[in-house]
Amino acid sequence: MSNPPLDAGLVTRLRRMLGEEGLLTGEAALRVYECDGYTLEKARPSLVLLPATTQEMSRSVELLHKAGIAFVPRGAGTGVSGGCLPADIPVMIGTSRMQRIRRVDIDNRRVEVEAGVVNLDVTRLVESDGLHYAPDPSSQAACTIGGNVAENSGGPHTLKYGVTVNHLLGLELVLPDGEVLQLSREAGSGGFDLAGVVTGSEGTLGIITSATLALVKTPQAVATMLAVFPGVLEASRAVSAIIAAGLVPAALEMMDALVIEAVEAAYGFGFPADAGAVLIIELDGLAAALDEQCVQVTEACNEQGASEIRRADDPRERALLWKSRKRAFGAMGRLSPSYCTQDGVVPRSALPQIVERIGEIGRRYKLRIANIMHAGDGNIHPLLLYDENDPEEVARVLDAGRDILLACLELGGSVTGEHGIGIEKTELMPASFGPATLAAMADLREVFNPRALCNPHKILPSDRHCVEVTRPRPRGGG
Amino acid sequence: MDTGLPCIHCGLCLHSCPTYRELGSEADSPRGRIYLMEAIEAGEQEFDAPARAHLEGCLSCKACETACPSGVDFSARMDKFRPRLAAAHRLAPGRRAALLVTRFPLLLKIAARTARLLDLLGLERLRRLLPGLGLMPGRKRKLRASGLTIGSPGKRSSGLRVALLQGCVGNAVAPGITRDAREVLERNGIAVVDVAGQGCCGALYAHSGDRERAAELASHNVRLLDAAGLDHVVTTVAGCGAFMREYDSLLAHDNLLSGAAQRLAGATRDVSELLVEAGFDPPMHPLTDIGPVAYHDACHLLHGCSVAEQPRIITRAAVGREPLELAESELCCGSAGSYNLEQPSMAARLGRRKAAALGASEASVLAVGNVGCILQIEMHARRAGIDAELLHPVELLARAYREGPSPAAASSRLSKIRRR
Repeated sequence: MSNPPLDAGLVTRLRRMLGEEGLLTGEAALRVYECDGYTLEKARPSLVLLPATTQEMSRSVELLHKAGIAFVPRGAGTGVSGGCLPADIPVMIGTSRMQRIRRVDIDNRRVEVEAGVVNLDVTRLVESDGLHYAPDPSSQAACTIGGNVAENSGGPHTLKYGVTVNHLLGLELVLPDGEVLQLSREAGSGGFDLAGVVTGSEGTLGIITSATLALVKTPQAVATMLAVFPGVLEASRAVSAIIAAGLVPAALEMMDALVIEAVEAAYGFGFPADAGAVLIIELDGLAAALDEQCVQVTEACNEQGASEIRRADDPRERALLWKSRKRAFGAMGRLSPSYCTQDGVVPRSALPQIVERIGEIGRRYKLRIANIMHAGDGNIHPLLLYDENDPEEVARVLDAGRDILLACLELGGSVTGEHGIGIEKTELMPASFGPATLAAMADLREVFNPRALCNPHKILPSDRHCVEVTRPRPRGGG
Repeated sequence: MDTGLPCIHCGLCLHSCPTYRELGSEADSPRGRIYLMEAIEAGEQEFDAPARAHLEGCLSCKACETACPSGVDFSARMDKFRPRLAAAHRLAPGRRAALLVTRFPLLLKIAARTARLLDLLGLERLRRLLPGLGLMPGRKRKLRASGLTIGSPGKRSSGLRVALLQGCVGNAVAPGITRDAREVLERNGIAVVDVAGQGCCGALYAHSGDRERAAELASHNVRLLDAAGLDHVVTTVAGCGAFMREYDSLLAHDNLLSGAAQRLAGATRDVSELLVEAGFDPPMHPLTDIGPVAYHDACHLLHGCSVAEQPRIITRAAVGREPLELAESELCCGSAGSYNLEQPSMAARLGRRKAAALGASEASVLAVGNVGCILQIEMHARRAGIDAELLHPVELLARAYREGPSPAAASSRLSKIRRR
């Protein structure tokens, strides 16, 4: 489905300001913007703008606002909840050309970068100074800081270090009418924490053009361990046992047998073939303390029936282990032509129950479901495998995904840990929040985005949800 | 042709793609190109001029394949599509010129000598701005063999017999690299056999969508080299090496040659790869006095052959210290086979970007394992007024073998230090 064409005069004005490379039109250029990493629904924008500066961004937004035309921001399009789906939104505004590093302040451990700078490049910028940017989503080699702030992204290391908002010192925000706000939240700023409010708002309150980020000292030493278990239940219990022992691992990740099969095919790390589940446990801090902590982890895992525990001391082995984990989503392509990544949260103690529930749901809907979990903070990522050429199976995937998230709510959790609500989960919002809370959220949005021109129909349920659900198409592979 | 696993649209390839990094437009990214090709194949997208432009913009640098978590074979998809691109319109003049040169390497020799003459007349800055001639190597790169042979023949024979691929373009423009590779191999007890009559490896044709002609050229080389009874075929040009490793799939349906093609694909080695594999003598006197040295990954070595460590080992041995890394080292310089002739504007943008990274590194020598990159980066460095010397790692090693510091050199170095 396409959006209607735009007024030619407006397009000409925008082109004059942004230049040929800053404004994309035509089917060939626009087609790929139909969806992001969430491919179940598609809608094509009529125009994509790629401003290169805050001023260009602000002017573009102002012109669109005056003309009453809706727009949606997009970073690198690595999101997986359809947060930048241009459904009933004619114009998409990308931040890919906003690439400047505005300030590197090593003494005060902070950097200011524009929205289009890639997450991993922030760490590359400062790693020679013994610092890094802690939030490390699996897509960190491609996803951008603007998108990270909009989604309040996490990553495996959030267990100890927290998510994006815990590392955010300030924002530059273009409001939906084009006005530019500088929002500081450094200690002693006073006033309301508007940058905090904007974080995680998925592009519904304005467009982020730059962010000031706090840097973290890179730990003196790191120990990465791999523990192998006969099944997910034993591994889940070990997670609770490790935390109960008083340890705060930097990361505590779980992969089940199906995921192990896929990553082994892709990267050949050498996981045992009969592993029912593995935990990746990373400890960091002072070198002197790590050996003792490793012993504690080993004891906790052994008590829960671990069949093998090893420590990856060689940096190369450690890197390969993390590559296996961080690229596990992509590796699923080796097991199935398509898959849907779900994202839910349960209290850590309820991990064994949710694992059982996911198993039941898989059997009920006759689907293969693989499990990756940021187990330390109860964030689950069931991967529902399917073939998009089978519409009946697609329907079962959607139903099963919803049932899993409802099970998360029943167990006292939530419907998203880090992927956001986007367009995918708006219908689950009433199950997650009471009417008064939802109304307060709607009121907040109204303040920033009164005409609902900036990324409408996202997060909060809306009656205008008109997109094309993906239809089967022959695959290029073969 | 097997085009591998499906693209899941995750976008992890975006930041690895040089054209996306320059333009920020996703139709100019690997994900966008795959999406376009699939839509064209499905009849949903017209194969019009804009669609062609997005696809022709691809450098075939394979960086996206390294980035892809799903194992999508992007090159195979692109190669499958290239005949359609070629059929849609006549080949760009640049590519036709490049293909012509593969048949008549003499043209290149003439161009290289003309360039040298202009440089001797003090016209290098001007010459660097010319199309074609601007790419020819500079005065620092000697065209003829220096006549020196490398110091004491080192260790016992390795028992290996190899041939050097006489890369058509590489050998004509920078014969010094082939010469140095030969001397370095022999110095390390590896016998280098002359196999006369070798032709172009065929990569340029395959990348132009002419797989038939590429297969013809490959067949010729396979017959010739397989009959020579070699342990390895050694390349100094990354693109040729990467393509020869694909000879097995290129000739898989040739009943007569498929076995030999498979053997040759398996026996192909980059010169640095073989030296590290077979073991080489570290030079007695590494080149410690040549200023900061950086190493740059050639795409077809890094992404095409997964050869990253070995050229760094060679460089480190030659210069006696860890080579510096350039910022964005994994990003293509814009040379990309004949890309710099066909898509001069994007190639120049990437060339300038690489030259800027070189300038920022403050290296006075940049080691690169591919002659195409050497020429491209040298041209853009000179245009930007950066005087760094560009050398193949094997040239650095050869120089270190040859130039143990003579007493005179040692004293001049001392005087430099005193002057400071």
